[in-house]
Amino acid sequence: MNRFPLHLFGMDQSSLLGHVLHIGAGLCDALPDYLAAGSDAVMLVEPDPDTALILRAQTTAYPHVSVRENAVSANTEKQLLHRFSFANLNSLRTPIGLMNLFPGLDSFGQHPVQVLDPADFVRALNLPDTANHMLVLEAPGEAMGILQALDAAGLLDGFRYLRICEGREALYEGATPLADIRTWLATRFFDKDSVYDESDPGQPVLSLTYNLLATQKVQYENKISAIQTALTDAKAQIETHQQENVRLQKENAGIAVQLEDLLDNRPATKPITPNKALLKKDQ
Amino acid sequence: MTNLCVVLGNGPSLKGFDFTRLAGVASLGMNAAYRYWDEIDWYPSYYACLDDQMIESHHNQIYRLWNEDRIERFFVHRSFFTYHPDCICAPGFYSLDQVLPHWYKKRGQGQGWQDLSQHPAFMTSDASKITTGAFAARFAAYLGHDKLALMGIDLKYVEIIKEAEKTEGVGLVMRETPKENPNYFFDSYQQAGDKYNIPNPDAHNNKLHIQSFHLISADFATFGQQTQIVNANPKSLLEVEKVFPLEPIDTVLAPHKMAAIVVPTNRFEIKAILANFDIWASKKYAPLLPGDRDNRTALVFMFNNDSAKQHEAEIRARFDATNMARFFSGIAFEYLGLEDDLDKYERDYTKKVGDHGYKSGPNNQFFRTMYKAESLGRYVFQMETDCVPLRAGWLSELRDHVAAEPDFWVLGSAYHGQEELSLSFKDHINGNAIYAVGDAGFQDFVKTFWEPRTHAMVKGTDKRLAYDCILEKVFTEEKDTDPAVAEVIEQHGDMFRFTEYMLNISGKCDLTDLSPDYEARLLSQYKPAYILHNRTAQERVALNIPKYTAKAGLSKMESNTLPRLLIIDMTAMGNGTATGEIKSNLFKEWPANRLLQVGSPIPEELSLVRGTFEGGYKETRCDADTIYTAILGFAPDMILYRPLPERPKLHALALSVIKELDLPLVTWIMDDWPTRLFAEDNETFHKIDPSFKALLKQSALRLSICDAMSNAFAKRYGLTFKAYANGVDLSVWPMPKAHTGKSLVVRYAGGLAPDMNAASIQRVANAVQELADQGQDIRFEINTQSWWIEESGDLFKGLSATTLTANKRSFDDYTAWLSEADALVIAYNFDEASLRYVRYSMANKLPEYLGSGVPILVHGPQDVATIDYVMQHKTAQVVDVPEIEALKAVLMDLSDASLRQKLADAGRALAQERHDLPTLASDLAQTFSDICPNYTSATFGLYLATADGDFAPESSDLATGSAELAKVDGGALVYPDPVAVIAAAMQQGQDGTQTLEDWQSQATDYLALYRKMRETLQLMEHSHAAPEVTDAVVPEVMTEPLKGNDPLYYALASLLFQKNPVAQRTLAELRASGMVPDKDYADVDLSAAVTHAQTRMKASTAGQGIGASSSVSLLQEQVIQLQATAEIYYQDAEKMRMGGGAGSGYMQTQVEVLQLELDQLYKSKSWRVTEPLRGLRRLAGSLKGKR
Repeated sequence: MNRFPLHLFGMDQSSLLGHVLHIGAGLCDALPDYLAAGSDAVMLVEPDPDTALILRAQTTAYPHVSVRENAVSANTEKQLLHRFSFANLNSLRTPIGLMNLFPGLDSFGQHPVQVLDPADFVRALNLPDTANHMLVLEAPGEAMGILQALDAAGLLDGFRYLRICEGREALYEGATPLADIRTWLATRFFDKDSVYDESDPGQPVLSLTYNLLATQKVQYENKISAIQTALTDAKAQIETHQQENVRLQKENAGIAVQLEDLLDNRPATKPITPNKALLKKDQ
Repeated sequence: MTNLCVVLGNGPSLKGFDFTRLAGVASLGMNAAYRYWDEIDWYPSYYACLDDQMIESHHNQIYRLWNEDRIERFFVHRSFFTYHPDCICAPGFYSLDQVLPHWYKKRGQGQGWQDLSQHPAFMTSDASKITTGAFAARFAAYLGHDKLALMGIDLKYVEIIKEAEKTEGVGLVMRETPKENPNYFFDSYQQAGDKYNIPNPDAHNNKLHIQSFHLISADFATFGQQTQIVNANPKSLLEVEKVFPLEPIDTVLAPHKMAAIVVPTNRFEIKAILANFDIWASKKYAPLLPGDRDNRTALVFMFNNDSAKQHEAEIRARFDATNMARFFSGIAFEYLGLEDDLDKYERDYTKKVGDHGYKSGPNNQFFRTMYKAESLGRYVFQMETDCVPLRAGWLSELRDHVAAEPDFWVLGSAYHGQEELSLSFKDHINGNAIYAVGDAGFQDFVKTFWEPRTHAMVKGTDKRLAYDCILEKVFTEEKDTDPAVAEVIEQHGDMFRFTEYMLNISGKCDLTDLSPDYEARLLSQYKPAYILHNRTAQERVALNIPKYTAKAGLSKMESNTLPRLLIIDMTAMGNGTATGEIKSNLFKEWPANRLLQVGSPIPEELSLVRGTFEGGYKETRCDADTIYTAILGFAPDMILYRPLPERPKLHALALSVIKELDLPLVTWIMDDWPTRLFAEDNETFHKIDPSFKALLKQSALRLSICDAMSNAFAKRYGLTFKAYANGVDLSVWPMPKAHTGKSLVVRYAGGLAPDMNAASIQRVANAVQELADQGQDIRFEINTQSWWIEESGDLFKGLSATTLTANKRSFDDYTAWLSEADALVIAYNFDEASLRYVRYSMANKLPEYLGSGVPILVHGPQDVATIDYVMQHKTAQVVDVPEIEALKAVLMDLSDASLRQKLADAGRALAQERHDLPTLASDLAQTFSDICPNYTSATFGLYLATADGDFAPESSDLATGSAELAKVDGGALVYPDPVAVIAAAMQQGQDGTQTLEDWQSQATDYLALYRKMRETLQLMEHSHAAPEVTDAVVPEVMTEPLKGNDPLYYALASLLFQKNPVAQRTLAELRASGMVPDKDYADVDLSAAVTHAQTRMKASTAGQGIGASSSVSLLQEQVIQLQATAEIYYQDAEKMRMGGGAGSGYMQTQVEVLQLELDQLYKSKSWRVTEPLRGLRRLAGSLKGKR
């Protein structure tokens, strides 16, 4: 993956970045950019032990940069990492279309790795709600699984920026092509500043920003909808009441007529002498 | 075409100059001139501001110019980047910190700039003389412009004008905006508040600016920067002090009136076209005179129709192969769409033809050519394929001739042959003429008069007529009857003119049996003639001219991959001496930037000799310090040394350099001076002999001058020698004359040394005298140097048949003088003292004599190698006894013309077979390349696919090549193995880290291109691990075998590479992406490194005294360390192979151990530790220390 292009996110050097979580960091060319963007903390996760070793050595001068030697996957069962001569292509999944792009790639076999659950891992980071966090995924074949796991746990919208490298076509078994990931992410409000970096058309990189306005819009639309429903209900109730009122008025009118008739047709009667004892009681 | 850049100062001489005249020309402007550029909305290509004070005032405007994309490249003082750090290393920016070694190390390197301080354009012997003007010129030279024209660099400052006041140091500030500023070409150049430095501060004796330009001349000569600089400003101090030659800007920028040579032709003339390239490629018929580099005339082929398109590639290839780009701005093809009746050329007039006539093809081709050529420029020369030059410089002359001629429409040749032409067109101007195609009046004349009347006359009068004769016929026959014709003659008659620049002699009877001296007679009859229109003559020259063959000489690619050769020899290449000429001849094809000679013109002086633009050599006397600096800057791959006792200072320097550089050494002995020294100065002989023998033993290759010398020396020294003598390039010699008659002009050219040949030459003169006295028509002409006349002239007093001259002749005159003789003399003395010196010598002039087509008379003892050689090959008349009568007899024999012709033919054949200079030069180049293990040719390259399914032989640059990819069927990206590249660089004393950075930078660019264009590109590694390329179609470069790297350097390079994970990952991606049938990459071979170190240790021990013992013991210590490391390495490798759990992490630890060791080596200040391993790095230090 090329260096991190701040401008793609509408950011410049003065924009402040919250936490950066880079899964599959490799040698992390983008680290200077993360640092330049004033990130509060940078977590680099790299499953390849040799690469993780180099990363650690390179980042010792930066106390807010951490390196973890792990894989991250929605599938938390015990897994093996396929290792290749070009370590950027290491994956938990079996390659399928990879050799077409990299005919000279050598396999270095499979090695056991400790796999982290995406949701547990992110939850443990305790990302503050107030900052603009970034999630970078360079975990070949795992991107969709990680994103869905985070979404299911309600953690995906904790990130403001996403940057994802994945094959244009599926390069590993069960991997989701990047275009499909993009479509799905749009349903999760990651549809702002959506840009493909096609420096390597075989392995494009997608940059997106969480669309906060779209989220708010939906919230307001829901509220309006609820109010409108309540209004409709109220109107219906009024209608019902009005109809009942008319019916009662009619009924009242009938009773009045009946009463009048009864009064008109009543037999003459001896006036009643008020019972003073009863009146007192009523009072 | 000359890659010109106009460097614009801001002096008052520039007032009124129209900057738009620089459209299409690269230009460089500087400092505050942008204020004027903004006004006129014109901007130069490049910008420079190296004045820190000015940067303070102008940095925002410079930044604006960059943001607005006004200027391509900016070369600025480092202070600019403190204001605009985003421009550090930004494309298009260059910093002064890149070009000065001190500041590069201190600041530039840390900021990530590329190191340009070792580029010859920036290398300087005085780093205190830095001015924007001078370094702007250096910058333009660095950018690759091979000609710089300086304008507006007046250097006549009023140092502090009244509106300015001093600040700190040499700083000034403009208090108010001057109303008139005497220093600049526009008054508002400086404005209130502007800061700047005093132009010429006291510290430089108020001469900083002029000194800085003087320094350019000296530095470029010293460090080999090949850039021609002219001053276009007659008012400049540069002109007063004659720093650069003056060339008015009008001349610099003048477009040619002579725009193009247009060749009307068809597919049946391809052979003639190719032959003409061969003819033009020979020095004798070269289009441009030596030193004339003006190649702005185009070459355009006007084919009758598309049927010739299939030959276009072949013609282009020959154009390139014969290097016609030296003479022409380019080659172009037009196809005129003439078919059927419009394209007839029927010589059988009994056949029936239509209204278009028997010559409809040539006629229509001419008119369409005129129309097509309209856009080419003012004038074109229509030159059919049967035109042949009569001498060199024909295009130079054509250009000057046209420039000097008042305006014309047609300038051409009358008929000069033997045919009786019809009266009506006997005075016609032949079609091979110069036409004013860019003149609207001429175009209108062709369209409304010439073409319609041609068609009408062919149809109505005579179907045989051609366009050129028709014009004359119309003019002569119709001028009195047709008012329109009369009007044309009246108004434009003087626009049709004759010239004898070209001679039309192409009638039928002119094409048979040309005499051998036909052209020579023409030249004596027609002094201005340069071109002959005559098919027979063209074919005869083509037949005799050396043909282009793909393997002849050194191809451009070959020459660019030759080792960098340091020659140490007292005689400068090309200085006229035999030993100077043999070097200049044999190294003629060696690129000037890969060749450096250290000479010694007189015993106590040293010199540097470098190639010049004109193809010659320039010798500059300089001190030892400068020599050392130049050698280090040159970074040779190998050394050629010709040891001689008479130059002790040069010998001492040679021994020092040979020892310190430790490069492959070639020694060359051209005369048996050891034998002479032994006899004449025994003490000196014994002083020199041990070191001389050691040199011979140390040499990877020993050269002699002939096989006889090789054999004798092999016996004497017990070592093998390979013979290389002078050669002759027949393509640049005159055609041999035909020998007729009995009279004899005998000639000799060369020295008259009493201890070599003077007595024998005197004997020849005596023999000639006696024959002349007896009535024979014979004379002897000797041409020698004046000092030989002083020394030996008395030997010829009273010999009236002998003339003695000391004329200096040009090469052409010299070759003509030899070729016109009836016999040439080579002579050696018979006395023992002379024999000691010349016994094993090969006469330097022998190949030239053999090739001249003149019989040779050789006089001297048979045991001289030269004499033995010509006797063996029966190519000369030999007199091997010191007797006048014998000489007289042989001279009488030579009065027989048939014998002379026989000897001449045999000599020429031998010259071609065994002394062909291009072949010898190519062979020598190959020999040198073979013994030079330092050299590796693995480089990056983009090779475009060609139409025939192969790849272009030469790499395209990435920007151009990637644009071209869309037009061709793919391409191949070749990248080198970085470890091999670093190893080679370190062996040559270069910085391995920098080399790796350069590799990384290029690899990133290549990878970026490959990722984008995977479908159309192949990616392949050129390395020791590269696949066997037997069947696969790959770029030619992949088939070149790579030289092995020194195992020790390879191991060190591997360790250095291991320290750079980014580079490792880049290489991993390249290898994963590319073509890898064989993945057995070379690893760190510490075992080989150890073996190599041990070998070196033994070599160090051998022949060295006690002083070397400590060094050897340390080398042993180093070997032990390496062995220990190697053991760990192999243990680790074994664990990996057995699937040990430690895996790569364990390996990493071991790599770190190796890295640590490498770091220690680099960090160590102890010569003890570093000595055995740091090679040329140590050398650089030690050489500097000596100065």
